Amino acid sequence: MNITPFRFGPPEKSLYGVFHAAETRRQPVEAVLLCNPFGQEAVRIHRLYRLLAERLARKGIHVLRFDYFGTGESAGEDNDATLRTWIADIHLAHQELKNRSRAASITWLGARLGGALCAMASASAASPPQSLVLWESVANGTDYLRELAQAHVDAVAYSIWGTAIALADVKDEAIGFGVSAELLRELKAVNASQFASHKAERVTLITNSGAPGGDEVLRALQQNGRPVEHVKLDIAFDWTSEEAMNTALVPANALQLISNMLEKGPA
Amino acid sequence: MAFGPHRHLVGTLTMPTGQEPGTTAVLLTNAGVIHRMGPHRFNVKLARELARKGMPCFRVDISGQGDSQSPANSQPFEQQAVSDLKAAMDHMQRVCGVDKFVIAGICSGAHNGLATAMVDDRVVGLWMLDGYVYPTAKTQKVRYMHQLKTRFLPTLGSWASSAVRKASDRVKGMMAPDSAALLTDFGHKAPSKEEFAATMKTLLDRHVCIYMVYSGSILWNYNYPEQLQDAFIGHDFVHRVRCDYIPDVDHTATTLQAQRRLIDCITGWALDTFAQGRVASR
Repeated sequence: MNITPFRFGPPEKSLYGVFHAAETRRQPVEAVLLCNPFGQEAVRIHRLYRLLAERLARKGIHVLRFDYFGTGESAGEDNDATLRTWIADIHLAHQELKNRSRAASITWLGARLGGALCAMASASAASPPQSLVLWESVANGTDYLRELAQAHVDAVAYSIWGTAIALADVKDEAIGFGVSAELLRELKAVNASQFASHKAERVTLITNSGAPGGDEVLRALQQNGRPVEHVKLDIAFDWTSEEAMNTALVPANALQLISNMLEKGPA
Repeated sequence: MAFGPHRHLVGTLTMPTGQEPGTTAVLLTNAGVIHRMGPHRFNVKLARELARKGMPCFRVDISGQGDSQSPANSQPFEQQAVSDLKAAMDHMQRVCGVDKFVIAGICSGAHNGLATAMVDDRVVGLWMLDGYVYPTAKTQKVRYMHQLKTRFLPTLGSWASSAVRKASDRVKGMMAPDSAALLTDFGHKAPSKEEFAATMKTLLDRHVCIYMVYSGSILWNYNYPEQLQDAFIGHDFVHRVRCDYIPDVDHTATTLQAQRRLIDCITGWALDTFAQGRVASR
């Protein structure tokens, strides 16, 4: 396997990326950019993204996964993170992937907040992706923050016997990650209606069974007028569960479905 | 950066800026299956804090974890983890000229650090959060009291259903697991008390500084400050290691407050113990 960890972007704001070069030739050359969700959800999905990248590379598709500024292995601290920066990071990563792969077609795949970021970033991209795949995208920032706060309360209660914190007391952190006032303000403003102005030629929306917000995102994407495919995935994926507690990291059906979908390539 | 005999390992080096780096470096490794950034990015935050205080830090993914590959001729998991951490030290030695290392690990990271220290003299310090645990008779009593105090009715209900289940198992002829099988840590089999005591003695005789920390997440197995001393009465090593029980911090540092507490804990200890020149003069 040809896997290259590297840094890109301006030195003071360097981003960490891992490029999985295609192992077989494929025409036209295709590439996939994997965009992380936020905080614990990004920790949770790391393994799945890595396996997905390896699988796609074996099928002849170049893949880049990367960490936004202030997250993961990239420069910056939790409180430096903003959605505005992350959208710029997606543009930068897209260019990096284009340079490395020479791909004629690039797909962005984003899970949860990563899905919302992909849709919003494509609207402002000078060089938009051919396709978007949004996996259980966040539809409403206020609802999402409420979910994160509840997950934070649950995680604390689960981690230390007899400990409880009130939902109202969760203000500037989410399951171990700092949330600045600016990020909080930006997150509250996230709304599926913003996704309608995406510039991709086609979009696939994946929703997990029973997950809220899917219809809202679907309606917004359909308003764009370009083709939208809606795929329902029969799993209940716990996005914030603690990896260390031996939970299933990579649901096989999710990996299979997404990799098959991306291997098919542009219609 | 990629390193290791097959260039299959990936790590992130965080160097002090604006000051002479210390002569002792800190290695941080995976906690369970979490990649090298650590649970809730704890390892990144810790590495940057240590570097700000002058200590170089290398965060590594062992084989098959995070961004590291598995080598073609990989060994059994624990042996491979030791080989990987040795390779990390080799690499740092080449790149930074450092030849003394502290390995800091959480859970399985603590186990891997301990195993590496046993076979590599370059390890001069170990910081272990929720490493191997040895419950005592008092552990069970403390747990029962704590359970009753915090969740009285659910605890009584749980005990009643457990008693019924055990009686039913006896009728069906199913045996309870023996006590040795209970000496596990998140699925990892712990060494016997005798083996553990001998390991600690060996390392301490080699002047390895050891700091054990137990969190509030393992109420079932560790739940009062003097437990280590009680579990190893008659063993001199318990008086030669530092051991803290921090009940308001959890296994994976889930809150920012817990992260701050643990970062201060390890940074303070590492600087006091391994600041430039001190280890060499011990």
